[in-house]
Amino acid sequence: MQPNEQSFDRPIPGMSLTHELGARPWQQPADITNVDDAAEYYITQIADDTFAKNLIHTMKMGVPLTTIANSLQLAGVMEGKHSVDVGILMIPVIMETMMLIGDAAGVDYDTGLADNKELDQNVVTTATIGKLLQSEADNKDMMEPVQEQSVQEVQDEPVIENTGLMSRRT
Amino acid sequence: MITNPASKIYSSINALPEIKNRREKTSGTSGMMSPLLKKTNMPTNKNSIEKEPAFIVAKIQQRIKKDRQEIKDMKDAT
Repeated sequence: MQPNEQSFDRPIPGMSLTHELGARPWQQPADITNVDDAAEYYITQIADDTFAKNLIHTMKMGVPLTTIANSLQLAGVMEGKHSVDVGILMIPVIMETMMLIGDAAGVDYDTGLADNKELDQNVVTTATIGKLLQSEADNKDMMEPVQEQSVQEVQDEPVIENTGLMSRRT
Repeated sequence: MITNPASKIYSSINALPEIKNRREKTSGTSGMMSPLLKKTNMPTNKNSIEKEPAFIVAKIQQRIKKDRQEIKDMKDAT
């Protein structure tokens, strides 16, 4: 989507108030509260024959695994199976299980991770170090004129002559 | 705008180094003093990281990845 493009795919204001609080499954306490149980739930679900067949078919169509994984965990949240944070943590497990099924079936799938190639750890580290060095150099440049100015101000300070009655004569 | 965090989360978890199973410490002592010299398995702060959900997820992901690699290798060999 272009940055200036208007998005209509968003909730209408007050949409969350169209039902009683607690009427929706995600407003109830989650069925699964820890990642171990959630992982077991998803692995069992994905390993199911019918699901696996459909999954392989979807993979062959070229749908990225990231999209499928996100949809799966979002459905889990909507059904009240688990909370949002558990769902987010389940993404790597879901993706890895799907990759395992894809590899076992010999399907050439799209992981959806191609966009992240730019975010290689070495590139990020190099950029961070470069930025730090640059900021350090900038700080040095900023500090030096201030010091010179303060020395000059001290030197140029006018000597006030004592003119009072009690002042000591030199 | 609906965003998909899947690729970033997967990349972050996947970039973690391999988590190895820690070996249980054994004292190996025997005799009358053994109960005193025996190292107790008291809960420490070091163990607390192993209870973190992200740590558990990384462990499960690495286990599945290992299985996947084995399947891949077997397929390549045949």
